[in-house]
Amino acid sequence: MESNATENLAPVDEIVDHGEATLDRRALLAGVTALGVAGLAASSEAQTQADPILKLLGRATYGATSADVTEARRLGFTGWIERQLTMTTADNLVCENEVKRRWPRVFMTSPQLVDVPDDWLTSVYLQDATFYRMVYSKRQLFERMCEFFRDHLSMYIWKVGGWQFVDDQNNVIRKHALGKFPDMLRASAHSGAMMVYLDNAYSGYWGPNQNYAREFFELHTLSPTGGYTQSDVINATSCWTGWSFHFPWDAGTQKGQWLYRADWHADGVKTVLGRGIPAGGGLKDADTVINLVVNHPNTAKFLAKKMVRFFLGEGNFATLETAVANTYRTTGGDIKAMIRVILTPANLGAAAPKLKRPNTLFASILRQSGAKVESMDWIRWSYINQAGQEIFNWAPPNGYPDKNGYWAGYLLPRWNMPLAMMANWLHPTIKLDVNKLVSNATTPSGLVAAIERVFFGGVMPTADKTRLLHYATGKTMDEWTRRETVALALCAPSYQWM
Amino acid sequence: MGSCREFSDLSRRQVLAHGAAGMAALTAPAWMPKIAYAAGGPAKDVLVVIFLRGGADGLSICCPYGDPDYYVHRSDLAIPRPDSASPLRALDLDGFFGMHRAMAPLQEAWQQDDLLFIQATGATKNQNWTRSHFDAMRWMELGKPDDSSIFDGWLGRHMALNPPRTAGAGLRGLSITYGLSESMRGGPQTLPIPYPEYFDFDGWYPHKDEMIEWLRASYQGTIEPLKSSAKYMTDTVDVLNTIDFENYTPAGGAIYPSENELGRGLEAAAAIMRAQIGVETICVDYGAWDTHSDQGTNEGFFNQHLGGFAQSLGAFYTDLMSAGRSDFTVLVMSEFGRTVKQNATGTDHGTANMMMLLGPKVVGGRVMRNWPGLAEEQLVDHQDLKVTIDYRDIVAEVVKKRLSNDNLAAVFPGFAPTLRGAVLAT
Repeated sequence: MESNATENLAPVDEIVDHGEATLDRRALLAGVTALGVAGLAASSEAQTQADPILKLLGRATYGATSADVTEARRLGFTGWIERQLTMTTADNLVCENEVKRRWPRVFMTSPQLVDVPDDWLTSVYLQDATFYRMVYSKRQLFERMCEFFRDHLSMYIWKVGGWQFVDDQNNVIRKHALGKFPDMLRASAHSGAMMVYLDNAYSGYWGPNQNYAREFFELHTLSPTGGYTQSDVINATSCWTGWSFHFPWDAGTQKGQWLYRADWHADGVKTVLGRGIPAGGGLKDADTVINLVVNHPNTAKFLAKKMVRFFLGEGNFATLETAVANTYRTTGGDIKAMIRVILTPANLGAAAPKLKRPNTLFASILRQSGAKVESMDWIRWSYINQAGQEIFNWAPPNGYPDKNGYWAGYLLPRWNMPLAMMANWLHPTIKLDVNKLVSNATTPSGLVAAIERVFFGGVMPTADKTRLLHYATGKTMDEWTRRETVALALCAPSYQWM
Repeated sequence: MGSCREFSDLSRRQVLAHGAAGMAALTAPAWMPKIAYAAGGPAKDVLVVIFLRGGADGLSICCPYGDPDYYVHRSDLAIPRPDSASPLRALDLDGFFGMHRAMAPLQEAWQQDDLLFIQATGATKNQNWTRSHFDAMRWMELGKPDDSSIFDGWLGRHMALNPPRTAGAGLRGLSITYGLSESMRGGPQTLPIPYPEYFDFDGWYPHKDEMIEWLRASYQGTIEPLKSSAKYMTDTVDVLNTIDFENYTPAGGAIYPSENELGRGLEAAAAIMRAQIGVETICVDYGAWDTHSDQGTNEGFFNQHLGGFAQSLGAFYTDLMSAGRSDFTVLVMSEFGRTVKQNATGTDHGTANMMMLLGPKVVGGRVMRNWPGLAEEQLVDHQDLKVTIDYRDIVAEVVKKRLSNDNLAAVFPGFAPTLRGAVLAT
């Protein structure tokens, strides 16, 4: 926004809707109704699961397998969450070793990647590996938080380039996704990729660029209504002059990584958020800004609101948001502690319906079916791309929208992915024994029961279940009927919700 | 032809279908005031926007042969004067500008005063300071340079502010691209459909028709927004399936170059427009203009690539005009022009560029300009053509007069366009 914060008084509810803010709200409208939300709350189809464990798995994983359900019942509600919060890479070696085997570049650093030919492939490999982990990682809640922060500190991979982007994902997002938010934010401010993406890399005293400073306040921390002014943006921009990265043509062993260029820095007095910053502070100027902001109540409030939205959907959770924000402030931004406050049986019971975003839908189909993915290409080219959620491909800095109304508009790719997969159009990129998946069911009720067990945690909403049973009834119980019925179950309205 | 790394990456992404992010909005975005949509609006054109991605060298499309400095800066790459004996000579336009000979398929439109060039256009504020393809395209398509709070495109805002032209129309905005064109973002009932001829349910099944019926019925009984969305989706599949793309016969003997991405896209667009299904705006891309090296203006890549453009657009013009259509306007734009001074064999990212308008209501047969000149001291940073006409002046006039939208303040926030008589109002 070009306005300063005092004019910029969007209602609090619009904070996380910022992704769809378009025109100057001030110019355009007063009474606004969010579409696509009304009428959902009471729906039984969207509220698929009454069982707290199933609800938890629905919101905290990319599709619960039968094994996930069994494990969660054994560990209990809290036990499952704690297990997810404490697992490490060592607990997830099957997945990680496979990622390493297929896409070794995603474990490399910028200096290692700078001279690797075909950098665009590095980008593609990172997209593939990221999606692969959503499907196959045992650390599902961790992957969910990685997704959350990919959007919160969103970058566009085709502006940055894979060689720097990989470094950012490993050392900012994945490193801190279950850590402390202030640490993640500092890491992000020290990310060469972020300096490139938000144009700070070439910001010097002779030509300061406000992009990073502005988005840092607006999107990363305080929120659009977070109480900063245009003057704060200008002054913070000065603080950040010289925050750049090691250019590929520079000498040294840190190519692509963050670098402070002292001779580019604008010395002189600055004032940010009411705090005077004396001249000659150099590198410390921006550190002061970061410290002011990570401890600011509006940062806590903004992050709390977005996290609640991410897990519980578009509802009125004001009390909970305050509690989560307070947890941020008392724990120094501990993400695990915030999760514990959000993910309770009571909160999940009051959760608003949440449409699976496209990648969540596709991941859940693969994860729950136990399909073995040999190649990502078909999913990427035909479905993820068409459905509009290619990973790291959201050009603006605000991340993919977290709103049902935004994603409900284009159902065809959501239907076509399971239709193609169950028609065996995608072999050999994907391997799946459909007969085995449904335990070679020989009756319509047996088939639907198997589908219910595999894809709905054992509890499929009645309306779709009845319709599905009706579809299978009277057909020869062969492989094609199994394929058709499974495909329809995955296209059905109730499977679209988390 | 050598592209810069940024554009190579962007292009590969497009070629490989790693398309621009973009989602289809079913309903009007939340910021929009509730409007009681009347059935139909005033008569409007179908607007086709062709984006020449990569920064097309406008000085080699509409060349200022009358400016002697053109030949100073473009020692190898200049197009010979129309009055020269060279077989490569330009086709004269107005005694000062000429068009590349590869533009010959558009000569008919020029002679009918249906083709307008606008020279030295761009954003009058800051647009290209980074000279980044990504930023320049984004600002241009969003319609407000350097404002990171805007996420919707100018075309999307136009549609969101207006009722559907055809009562009950499903698809209003069609982006024949992987991922919705950013200009269309935020528009209700818009979809990215890279191959409209193949927009259908995937998979072969013994009882596929029954399955699709099952799906329709299931979503009829579900809740919003899925219920409406499903109907919109199946209706769109149905309506596109009524069009026989494979046997489409262009009018007037027009021949689209089918191996050309623009030709294919425009032929699909024409088939859809002639089927009158209510589509109001169409975006098509034509890329690969990032000619840093081996530009081949006269006898190489550029010549061939521009020929593909002109054949495609010429066929589209012939097709629709022969079919008696008087309700279309084509807008051609590119994210920036290229340096006036050539490098060894190509040109680098510049500032101002030319735009084109084509259609029966275009006040054409001329080159609109406030020519800034090509002398060293007249160039931006001693290298670029200076912007003298804001691209939004042109686009806004089309929105106002050809799409009957007077609310330009909402389509181009913070910008007061100067209308320059580029198109007729009626």
